[in-house]
Amino acid sequence: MQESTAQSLTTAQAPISFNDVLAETQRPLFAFVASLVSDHELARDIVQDVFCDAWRAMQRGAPPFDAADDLPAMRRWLFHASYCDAASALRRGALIRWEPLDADDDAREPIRSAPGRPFEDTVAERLALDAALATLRPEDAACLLLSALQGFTAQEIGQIIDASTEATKKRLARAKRRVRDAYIALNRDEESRP
Amino acid sequence: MSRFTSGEPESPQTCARYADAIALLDEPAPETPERIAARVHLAECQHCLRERQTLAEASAALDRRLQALMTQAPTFTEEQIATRAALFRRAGDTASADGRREAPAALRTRPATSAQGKRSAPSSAPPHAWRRALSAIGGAAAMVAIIALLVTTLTGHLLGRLPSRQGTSPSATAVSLNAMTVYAPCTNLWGRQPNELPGLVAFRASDGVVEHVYPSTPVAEGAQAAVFSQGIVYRLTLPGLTADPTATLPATLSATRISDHTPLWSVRTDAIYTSSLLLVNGVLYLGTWWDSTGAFDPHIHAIYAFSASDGALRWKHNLASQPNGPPVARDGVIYVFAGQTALALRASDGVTIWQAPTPTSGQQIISAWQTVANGVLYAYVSLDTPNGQKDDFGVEVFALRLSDGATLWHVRLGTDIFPSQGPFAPVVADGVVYVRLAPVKFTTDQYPLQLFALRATDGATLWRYTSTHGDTGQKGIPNIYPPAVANDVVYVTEDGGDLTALSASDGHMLWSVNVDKTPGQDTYPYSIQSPAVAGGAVFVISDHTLVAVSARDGAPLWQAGCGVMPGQEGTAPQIVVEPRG
Repeated sequence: MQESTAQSLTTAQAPISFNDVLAETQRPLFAFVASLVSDHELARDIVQDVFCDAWRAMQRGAPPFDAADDLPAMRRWLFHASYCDAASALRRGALIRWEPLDADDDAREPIRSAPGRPFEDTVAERLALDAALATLRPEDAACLLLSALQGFTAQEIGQIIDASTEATKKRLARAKRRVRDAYIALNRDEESRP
Repeated sequence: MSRFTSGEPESPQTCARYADAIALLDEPAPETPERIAARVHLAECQHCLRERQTLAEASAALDRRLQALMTQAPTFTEEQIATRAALFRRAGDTASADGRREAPAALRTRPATSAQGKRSAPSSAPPHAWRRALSAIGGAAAMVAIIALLVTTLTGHLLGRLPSRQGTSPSATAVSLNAMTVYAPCTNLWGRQPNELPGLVAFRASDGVVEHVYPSTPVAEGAQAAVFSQGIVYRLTLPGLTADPTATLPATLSATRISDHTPLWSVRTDAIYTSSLLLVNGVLYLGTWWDSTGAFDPHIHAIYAFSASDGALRWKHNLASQPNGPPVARDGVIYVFAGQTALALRASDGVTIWQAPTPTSGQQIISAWQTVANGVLYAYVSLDTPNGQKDDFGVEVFALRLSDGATLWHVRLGTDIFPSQGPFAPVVADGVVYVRLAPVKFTTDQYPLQLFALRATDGATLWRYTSTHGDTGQKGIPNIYPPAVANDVVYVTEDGGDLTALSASDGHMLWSVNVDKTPGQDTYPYSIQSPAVAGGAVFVISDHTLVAVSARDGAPLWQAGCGVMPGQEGTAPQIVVEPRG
């Protein structure tokens, strides 16, 4: 009763809050960046920096944060910014590589097997997929990850990585093929195991 | 004829149509004969079936991998992001704080460091060796910045110099409204009696929706001062405000948990009159005068320090004269004016560090409100009449060196000034000291309210703003609440409900809006209080309404019902804007 009285006195509509954006995007964004750069600490830094940029953009009412209810556009913006930063980090990595403060960070990533799935299969699958993604060019990997993580269409992915839709489709097909090959090779190894 | 309707499936070992069929079906699109044919082919061709199954399994494996990665994701909060964004600018952001990540064509934003940057202008790119050198320099600069940040943060924590919690803090203005909560002490919100303790209401800063109400506790006596901290309200209650006017009980200091009204502790002072409370690092400080017997007792003039956790008396420092206002604290030192003397006391045990005479020319100080900034103690002082003439008060501003109390400068702003009784400490920002004053005859057009901007180094008047409202004090007390200063704009309130923005550089009016929701029905004693500025908005309480307007142009943002706490001496209802958390 009390709150409703006060709320009735307010005049503005509640927009999408920054917390909503965080809750919606930070997990897939981290998975996207971590897959691209193969470095959890770096991925955390990139995601944090991107959110800082998003926060500043929201502060000054810059698009797409000027539209209070366009979460899909905000999501595309965040993935675009993350992709650019990840690509820049990979290029810089060729010149300077920062060692993580916690050297065992990635090694400590807990491996949780699905029910009924052998632990060693989960480990092997993870290693094979990480290796397959690492062999992809960043733009190819980004196409696959954006499709798998968020279900973006080729057109949307093209917007995010700044490429044409046709080029995006080719990259997506190439990335899928590479992952499929890695998966087949993994199964072949398992089958050949005594 | 479609490529996929040519008859027999391919051999189980290979199928040249697979890639095209998959590509055709991958995209959401209207169903066409070609898509239908592709679908049929994929269903019939053994090779394609196997390929699809393998691809589905690979996709499921990738999905499992990504799900596992997501469990490793950080859980940033808006407060963390806002704080980091306020503290850090990324390398290269200096020129692009507003321009970074502006539009690729489709997204309308393109980052400054585009992933496609390697394609652009190779001829203008520095040689490889130069790039390497620049990267190394950048890395070294980053290391220096990190070390500086760690030192600053650590030092700040050790010295207790955490960011200001006041709405006028420049850092507060940088925080998003979405991440902020406005705390306003409210009465009459739900029809309560005006002499109740203030309830604390938390409003969402972005739209004024009530986030939480910390209800007040019905009490018989009035509250002279209340300090909110970490879910506890510390109250100073005065016997002079009880229903029994003959009561001579001394002032009581108590702590109550807001959430369930649980009394935590209560202690009696020896005095009837006290200053406002000061809560610093878990210790409550207050000045006291006039003993409970009603007789003059110089021993009652003192500064008390109580533990906020249990009310235990830490120390008591007896003063030769009564304190003239609430103490202020900085870096483990308590500063207070008593009689004609300024004192610095060690916060840990109350030992005098220095005491220095004030440049008052023998005039008695009626009240002194202080602010510490940049190693200087600035005081807004009301002086008693020098010649016994009624209404002939004076107002001066002192600047005393913090290290030894030496007078750096003092200026008299005028005589015939209304003596300040309220929390009218000077506001210091960007090398300027802002003070307000009201002539005694402020109700006439000849004596309007004034706002002075004084140079902090020598007290020279930089500019003066004269209120356009001559007939201000409808209830007999002028509104001279301090202004709020943020981003080179001074926000000042005026009775009648005017909120005015002035340029900090020369005092010219930028905009002025009237936020009075009930014109002509001003709430005693003040119709409008000091504003608070944060996140690009100005918040002010006016006539039982908390109003938020845009700091840029005064455009209304929202308003919410909120009474005000009775304006007892030394207790203005202070709006506090804080990050949500």
